[in-house]
Amino acid sequence: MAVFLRPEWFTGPDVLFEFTFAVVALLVAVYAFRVFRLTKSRNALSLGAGFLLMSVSYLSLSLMNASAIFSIAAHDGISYGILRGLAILSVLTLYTHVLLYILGLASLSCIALKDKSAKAFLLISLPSIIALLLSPNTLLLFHVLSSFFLVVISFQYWRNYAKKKQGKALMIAIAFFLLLLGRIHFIFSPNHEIFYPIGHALELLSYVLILISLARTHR
Amino acid sequence: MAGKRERLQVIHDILRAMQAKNGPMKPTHILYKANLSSQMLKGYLLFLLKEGFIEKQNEGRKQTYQLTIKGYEYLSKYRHVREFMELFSLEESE
Repeated sequence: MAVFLRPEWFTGPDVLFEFTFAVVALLVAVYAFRVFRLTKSRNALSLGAGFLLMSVSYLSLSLMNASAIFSIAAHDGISYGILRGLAILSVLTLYTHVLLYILGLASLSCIALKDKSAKAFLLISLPSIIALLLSPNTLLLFHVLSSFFLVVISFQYWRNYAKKKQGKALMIAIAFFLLLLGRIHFIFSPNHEIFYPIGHALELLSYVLILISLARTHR
Repeated sequence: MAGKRERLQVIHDILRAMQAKNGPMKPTHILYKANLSSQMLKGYLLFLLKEGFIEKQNEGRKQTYQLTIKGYEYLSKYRHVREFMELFSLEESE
């Protein structure tokens, strides 16, 4: 099932990109959980949960795109049953990606809004989840909603940079801003296929910045 | 006036005071060295005991506290933890 309109040359590399995002997000989550174990900071727990959800979400997207490549490659010698199975897998992985990504961003938004209560998390995430499940255009709504969450998160990190004036705070602020720009490109990707690889490139830049920042805390 | 200390900073101050003493320390001394109210100190000591960063010793009627290996480990990782907390703006004030 072709869910995204993408240039042919980007079919395959996109799987690698998404897998890379999953690995970096998982690294941040693992580190955040280690910090939580030492400090019992609820913010560290929310950050860990947020990035873990995003990591599984990217893995799911990666699996969906990989299965799409497989179904195209083996189109002639494949039975109807297997094709149908791949189509069901695509739908399941797409919804897993969409729902987990939104839950992950909601968790990060709770840190930005300085409210770590379960109530706040539910209030932020539940309406989005219901809207996504009921929407006739889940993917477009997903990109719009995730852009909205990323505006809130980016704004918080810009404020953090404005307060501290530190290079590392600037890097994280830029990383989330790039993630937002990437999301905005995905909104337009169904009409212009070039926006799909541009969105991926922006996300890759964002995760590289996050990875560099993470490595610098370990120096 | 200086702002409120972050929770992480308070924990660090208590553990550093114990490290500097390099032996059992009375609660009143911790209170003085870490600049805390007795109520706040009580809460922090309970947390640190529960997490295994410090251990309580009873010497007659006198109670003292001492760093554990996990406490020393926390101090050695403190800079990395703090930088991570700052990086993602995770600091919480008390």
